[in-house]
Amino acid sequence: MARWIANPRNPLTARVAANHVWLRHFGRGLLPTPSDFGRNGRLPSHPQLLDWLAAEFMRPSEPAGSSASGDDGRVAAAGWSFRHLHRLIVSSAAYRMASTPDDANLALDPDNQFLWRMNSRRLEAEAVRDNLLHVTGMLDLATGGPDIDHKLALSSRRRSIYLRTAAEKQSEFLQIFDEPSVNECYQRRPSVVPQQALALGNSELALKLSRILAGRLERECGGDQVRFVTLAFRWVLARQPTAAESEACVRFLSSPATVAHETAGGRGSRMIDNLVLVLLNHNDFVTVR
Amino acid sequence: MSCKGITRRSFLADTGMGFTGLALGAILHRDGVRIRADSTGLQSVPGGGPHFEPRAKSVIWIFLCGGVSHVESFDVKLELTKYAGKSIAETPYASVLATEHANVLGGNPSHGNRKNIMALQTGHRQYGQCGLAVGDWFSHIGQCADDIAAVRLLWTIHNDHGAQLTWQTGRHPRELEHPSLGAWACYGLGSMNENLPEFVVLGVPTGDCCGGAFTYGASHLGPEHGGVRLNTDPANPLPFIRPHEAALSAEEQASNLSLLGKLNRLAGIDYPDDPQLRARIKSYELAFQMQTSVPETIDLSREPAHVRRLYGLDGQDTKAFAEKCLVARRLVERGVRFVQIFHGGGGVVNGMRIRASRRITRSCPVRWINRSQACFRI
Repeated sequence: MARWIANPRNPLTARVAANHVWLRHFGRGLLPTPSDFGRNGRLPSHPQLLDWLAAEFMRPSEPAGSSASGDDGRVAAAGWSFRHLHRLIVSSAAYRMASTPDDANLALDPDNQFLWRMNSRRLEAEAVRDNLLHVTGMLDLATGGPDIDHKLALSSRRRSIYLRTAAEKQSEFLQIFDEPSVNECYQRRPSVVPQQALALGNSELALKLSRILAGRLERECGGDQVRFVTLAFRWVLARQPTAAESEACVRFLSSPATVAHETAGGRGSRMIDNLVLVLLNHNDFVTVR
Repeated sequence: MSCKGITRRSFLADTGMGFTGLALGAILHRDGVRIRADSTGLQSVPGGGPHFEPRAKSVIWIFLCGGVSHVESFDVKLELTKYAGKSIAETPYASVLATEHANVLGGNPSHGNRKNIMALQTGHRQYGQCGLAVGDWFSHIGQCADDIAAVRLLWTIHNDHGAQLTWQTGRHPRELEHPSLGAWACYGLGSMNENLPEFVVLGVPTGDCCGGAFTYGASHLGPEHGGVRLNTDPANPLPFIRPHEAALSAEEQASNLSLLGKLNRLAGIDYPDDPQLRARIKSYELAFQMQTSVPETIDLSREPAHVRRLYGLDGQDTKAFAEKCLVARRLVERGVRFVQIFHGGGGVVNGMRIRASRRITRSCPVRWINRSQACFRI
């Protein structure tokens, strides 16, 4: 049976694999029913592309321009190499496109069936949590080790992949961001619900991390509010703020609420903590364009 | 039409069949009619009313997962008892075995490949002036036969769970994700409140199998119209409902939210057609309100004793369903457009069947209907 499955004359296995990898990079498979390539499934939008990827997956072609080693030092990949498949896809022109809309294309192909732009996607549940830890410099990148109790999702610094996930043992935080069923995951179904806003705005994880990052940036910017805003945007959203964004944030930092809260005392947040928290809740934080 | 990336073609296909047709009137009507600016300021949503004065504002849709068979509840078919034990080929209805029906009538291998007809498992009686025939398991409901509309014209091409999706979207699981009825109602009629989601889902939704993953989604209408699941447990009304260790005051939350809204709108200028962004902006505004509105809504402790009794809130068998029904009522009283209740789960088999039906019939629906004025109209 193993020989049947991996037989080069059986294109199904490689097609299914190529479709899964494509789906995870583009948010939508070349064949929209990844769990069903049979009579109940749909037809692929780009059948030749799917076949080509499947063929490349089974038996990679030589890198262009050289026999054994390309100018970039790459050597021909072995057959059935997922690394090769990922590299092919993420280095393609289609993958590298921006998701900016274009009126003419939008009128012709509103569903982006023909990939005239990148689909914008929401981060997966695990990546939302990992990204919170990462942008605040707190992510523990250690690999391996035993799994971690799902109840530690809000306090542990380990990557989400190490959290235990089983029936009745899923982290609430991850579930809110559509963590897949423990039984199967053919395709993620990202939702936008108010619970996500509460998880990113009120959770111990988000509040703690926003204070940590704010404290670090404060030391770095030496009291310069414009610089603080720029640094915070770069750390959290990986881009510069526009002039309008920067102005809105600086005005926020010097708003009267600061005074009101400081006089109230207690363990409350400062305005710079709040600014970082706001950026962690920005749509761009959970969105891949 | 310039609404949310919906093409005229898919629009017509979507509204042409199933429950989705229900929202058609409202949607067609809005062409050339008042377009309400959404609070996000980024979009126009349908704001025109339907072409006739609606008598209902809200819908409570109760979906009993793995419920009792229609032939033993409201669609009694005596022929089944008459031909019990025989195969369909041995009855005068043999013609339905023709090839095009094979998918419906073939035995399911994982269910023992049964192909013989099973007798009705309960008796029945006629009730009310209309003479509605109702299975004996539903005798409580039978007593209000004259207040019920039993619809008997539905059919399916599924021999199994797939019909659960057809109920909600009018579609076959093979057609994948399409807007559910609740999403259409909210899209077409708009929201009636700012404190609670327009489309609430109570209970555990249908499983992922056989189209079950799509039963409360909004698909191409945009995620803002999808069903939002709520707990009915007052001890845990909403995850992360308060800032951890009260780190933020309500004023701070509001000022953060105001900045966040500004920044999201600034960033959204480049992506005016992004329904995810619109939905996220709306979800933040809603989440802020829900911190107070949800606990208040699901707190049933102040319901008077006669209402608790009426719904069966204190009965061990009826409590779980009663809670959902009473919360559903409180939600529509507070302006929620559509409440989807999912109750039960798995197939209803043998002994479970009778207990399950008792649980349902002794709980709310019958009593709601008896006292529709005291409760609410749906």
